[in-house]
Amino acid sequence: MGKFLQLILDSFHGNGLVIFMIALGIVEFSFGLYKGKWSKNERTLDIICFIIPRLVVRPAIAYFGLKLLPVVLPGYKGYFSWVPFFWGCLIIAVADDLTQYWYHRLHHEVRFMWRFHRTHHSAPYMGMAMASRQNLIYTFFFSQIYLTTALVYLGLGPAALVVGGIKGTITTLAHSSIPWDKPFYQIKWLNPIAWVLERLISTPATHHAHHADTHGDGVGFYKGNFGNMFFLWDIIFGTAHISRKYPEKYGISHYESDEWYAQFLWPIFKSKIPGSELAADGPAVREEADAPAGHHLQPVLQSRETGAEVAIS
Amino acid sequence: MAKATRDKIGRSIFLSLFLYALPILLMFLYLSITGQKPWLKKANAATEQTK
Repeated sequence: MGKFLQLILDSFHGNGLVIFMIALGIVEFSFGLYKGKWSKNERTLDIICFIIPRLVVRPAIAYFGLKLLPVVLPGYKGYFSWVPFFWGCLIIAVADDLTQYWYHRLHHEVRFMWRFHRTHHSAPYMGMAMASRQNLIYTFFFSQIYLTTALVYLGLGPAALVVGGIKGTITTLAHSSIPWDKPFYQIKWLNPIAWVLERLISTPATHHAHHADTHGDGVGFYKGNFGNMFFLWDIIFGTAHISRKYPEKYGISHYESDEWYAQFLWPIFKSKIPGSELAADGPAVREEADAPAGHHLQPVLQSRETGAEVAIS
Repeated sequence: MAKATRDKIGRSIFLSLFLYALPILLMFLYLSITGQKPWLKKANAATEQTK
């Protein structure tokens, strides 16, 4: 039974997850969930972000795993293969997802890192189209992938596949524009399950709040809800906001459709949108004049004239 | 980085290190309670192979 489950998850973690995402995306489109917001620029960016990392990042990780690790850790291949399967799953789940929580959170809280993660937040919609949308450098330095690859080398491969399959499913469904968690809030006898579920894993309600273009209005909460597979990290570190509601608008309030190539390859290519965070002379973190709270804990503008950073009170 | 943010992240580092170690500590606790030593099985298998 365990081997059968492993085989299913093994296949799912490879091409299965891609097929699942495409199928879910087709359902989202058929329900009109993108509401005409998928312009040519957004479409190009989403499709490139879906394809390129699978052609570039995966081979890089394979290289790291096959070539570098035997040099860095000679004689340690399969060293921890004695670890029981259940405990291997738990170790990988924590190591992978807690690292991703911090990687994600730091991109929101450390000023210079924000622009590498901005591409994921600029989409004015939720769904499969934007789930893989990331700047290439953000994708390339996805630290937990390398950590997991190292753990696989050390002998935790089967556990890594199972955790990868479960994590991929949870994060995909959290980004989906289909609010699968809604019945858990609406049907009374399901409420206790909802209470546990929304604290344990990322749901559309909590993760959509993270993608809202507002913060602190009771629903939108882009300064928190950083968890990917486990929402528990947000509960533990005090960055959680649970409202059981879905934001009306998504994205970045001052977003003006920066060119897809600038979003994908910043800082190699810069945006031509004046005042954009991705423009050559743009601020590291842009704030709306009437909205002092932005995608940063300490809003900072960079003066166009002097290049000096000016904190906004 | 703002000082408040820096302090908050600094405090969370220790908690994170504990969380990283927790499943490993729990595993060894479980193995010691149940008297299992799975690493010996692996060592024995390796010895058998070299014979």
